[in-house]
Amino acid sequence: MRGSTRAFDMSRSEWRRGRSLCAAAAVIAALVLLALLGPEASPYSYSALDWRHLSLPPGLTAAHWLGTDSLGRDLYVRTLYGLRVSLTIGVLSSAVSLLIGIAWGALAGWVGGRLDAWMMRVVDVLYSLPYLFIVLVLAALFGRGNVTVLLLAIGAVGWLTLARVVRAQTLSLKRREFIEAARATGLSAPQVLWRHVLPNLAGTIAVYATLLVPQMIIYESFLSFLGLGVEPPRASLGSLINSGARQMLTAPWLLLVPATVLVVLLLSFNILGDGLRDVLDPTR
Amino acid sequence: MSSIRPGEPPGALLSIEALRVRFAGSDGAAPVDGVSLTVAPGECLGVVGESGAGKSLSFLAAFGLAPQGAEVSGRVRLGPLDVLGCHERQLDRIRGARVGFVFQDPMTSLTPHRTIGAQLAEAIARHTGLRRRAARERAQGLLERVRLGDAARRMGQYPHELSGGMRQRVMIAIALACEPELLIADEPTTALDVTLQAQILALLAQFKRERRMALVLITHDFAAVAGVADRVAVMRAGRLVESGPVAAVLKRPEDPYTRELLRAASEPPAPASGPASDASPAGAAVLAVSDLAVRFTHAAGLLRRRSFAALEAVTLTLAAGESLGVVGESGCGKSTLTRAALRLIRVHRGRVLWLGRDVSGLTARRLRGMRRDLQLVFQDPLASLDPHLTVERLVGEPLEIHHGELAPDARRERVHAMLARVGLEAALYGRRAHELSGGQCQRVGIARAMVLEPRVLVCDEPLSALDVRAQRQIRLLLEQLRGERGASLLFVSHDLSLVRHLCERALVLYLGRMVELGPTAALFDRPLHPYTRQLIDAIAVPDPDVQPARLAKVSLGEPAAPLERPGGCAFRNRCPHATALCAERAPPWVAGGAHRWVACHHFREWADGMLPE
Repeated sequence: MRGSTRAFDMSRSEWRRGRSLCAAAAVIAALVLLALLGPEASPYSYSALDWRHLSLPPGLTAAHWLGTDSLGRDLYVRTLYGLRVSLTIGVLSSAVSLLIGIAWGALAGWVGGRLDAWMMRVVDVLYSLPYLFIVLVLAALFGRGNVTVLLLAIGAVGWLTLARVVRAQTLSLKRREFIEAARATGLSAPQVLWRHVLPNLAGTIAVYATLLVPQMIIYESFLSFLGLGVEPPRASLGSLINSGARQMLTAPWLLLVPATVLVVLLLSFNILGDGLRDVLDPTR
Repeated sequence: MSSIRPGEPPGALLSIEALRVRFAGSDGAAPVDGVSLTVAPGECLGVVGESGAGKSLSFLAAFGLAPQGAEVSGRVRLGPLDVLGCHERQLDRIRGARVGFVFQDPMTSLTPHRTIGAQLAEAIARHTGLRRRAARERAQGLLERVRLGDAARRMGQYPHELSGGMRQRVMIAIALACEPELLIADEPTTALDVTLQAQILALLAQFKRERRMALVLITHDFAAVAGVADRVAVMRAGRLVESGPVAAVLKRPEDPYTRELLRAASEPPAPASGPASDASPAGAAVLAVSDLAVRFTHAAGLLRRRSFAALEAVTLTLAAGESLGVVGESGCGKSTLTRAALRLIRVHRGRVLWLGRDVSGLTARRLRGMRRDLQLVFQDPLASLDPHLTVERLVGEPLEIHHGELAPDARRERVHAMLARVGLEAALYGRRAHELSGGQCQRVGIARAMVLEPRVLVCDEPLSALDVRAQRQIRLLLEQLRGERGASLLFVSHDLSLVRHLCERALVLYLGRMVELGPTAALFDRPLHPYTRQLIDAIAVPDPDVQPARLAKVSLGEPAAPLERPGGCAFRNRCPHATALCAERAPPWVAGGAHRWVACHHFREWADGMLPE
């Protein structure tokens, strides 16, 4: 009976969480649509220079309603273009991180013993390498501004935490009775992993993935901010914030617009992750 | 906000009037709906009902422990004090000091990262204001009073280092720390085996007697009530259906619901009927193990590991169509035996034969195909079902694995037929395990095992997690299925009366060794091993004339732990007939009559009554 009251409590707060979950998903969907269609729908291109309007402040009646930068490029188009680049890098590198992380963690946790110890030491070693160092080495080898290098560098760090999380979850799942039940039924190890371990990890993974995307976007922005990422005239949210920060006092809109978009995007992903965890837990 | 009202019924320590608990915003019936009860000083009230009847919630709500969102109304008085009108701070002083609580699961009620001694001393210091040293001394005294062996050492141990029975003793010690006037024990014995159940109840009965402490025993077990309670109240769906003196209610129940519960609890144990009534393994052996030994290692310090024998020299044969019971206390190796016989854990020594074929050396791959014929039903039905799968998929999975050739339609048909056979309605097929009751979960577990039509069904305490009515239903279902499908049954249980009901032969294990094997009827009539005798004596009966006397005879000390097995005969420190020979040599496994085997040096003398009791 105590269980039923708990279920009841849950449904109320679930409803509250459900609303914020939907709101966050809607904001993300809107931003994705804008990133895809926005630049195309505008008369300006992200690299076109407008010599008549240099450093134009935002204004609804102006030719560029979010203003322009010191080279006269339309900030609205550039921000959405940057959003597109940031999202692409975030989603792609998250996907790579997820694949490696899940496979690595699940294998180590399931097999255990010596293999587990070795695989986790590899993770520890990669963890202890300074992330910037990896990026600098890759940039020196392949040249700056190479998006593939950027993806590689970010992906190389992204999967480490996930591998640990998945391994720990697999370890605790492995001892659960329904796993023993599956073995007693006659399932093989890969079948048990595929049918019973991974589906029960899905909640954790989904949550982690939605938290991973913003993390990757931050990494990318950080690298671009340092000038190691996307090169002009192309833009990402990070590189826009970087150049905006330099003119913070003379043209504050150049910092505020991309920064606002970034904050809204990251916040929405984080709320989505929180909400998903509750929805995907079958016992709630 | 305490107030003394005139016209109190004299003598009532706790009086609850028209207690109602509702949850804000829920349209369903109130989980507690107008309950009125009284408890006199020094009296034991048994509160009986199935899970969900509102038994625990009534008493939690009465002392301000109802979950959030609960609206509690009615009147609750402890002596002259109006409890429902108390502030949280006042309630804190009442709980623990005047009213003690013991809950079902002692593991979750103890903080895992602090030692037993620290937790107990804290409870004492908090309510009595004693200094640390004095509180610790008192704590140790309490642990000795609840008969926790080796109390000084236990003080420094953590909850996970103790067994379930020991933890429950610690919980009782904490509840008794401040000499409460009233102890509320919520299913204190449900998670324990027969021997421990009897011991914990006997302990509670003793405290109640010696210290005139009032006791509320919340349980689904009529036998527990019969042994300890003076009065009994039966609850159903938040209401009281019947209450009165224990003898009257248990012997002449008036309410049909009480009658139904009592019938489920006290069905006469008819002797098991089966093909092999003379108990000789007539058919071919479908499952056999010989000289089986399993060792577990555990950490005995930071770097050292010690191993102990969970199972030693176990040999048994399960014939086709036979049902064999394996009984013993928790920790005796029953579950280990099932896992080893099914090759789910590593076997240290010995051979395992499935359907006459030696599978000891087979690879996991070869074993998997053969598992179809040997299926397992688990003790905890909820934990053994994958939480994210629906009932239909859970039962369909074994078919997918072993009968991949079946078309989805044909498979669904077989799944539905099986689910209908175990008595689950079609409305439940889309549900997940946590949306089902314990009994329904166990039906799914059985359906999952039986859908492959195995030759051997191994059941590991399939009923002990269920309440009385569900137990009876599942037991009947197992009997019927066995009759219909002719599967052999290896039935593991700590409940001897159940084994007597279901099995033709029984094997008794003690600390990983076989102590007695024989036809169930003969084993019950004339046990050859003193341990079997003790197990039979510990069977609780829901009869208020008999049960208190039986409880009074229970020895309160703890049973031996598998890690501390004495040399010679392992049972000798609990055996009333032990001699020097028992300490010296382990008894051999010898024939003790027709189809009977026993490991006791003195069974001939004591079983015939030669030795004094």
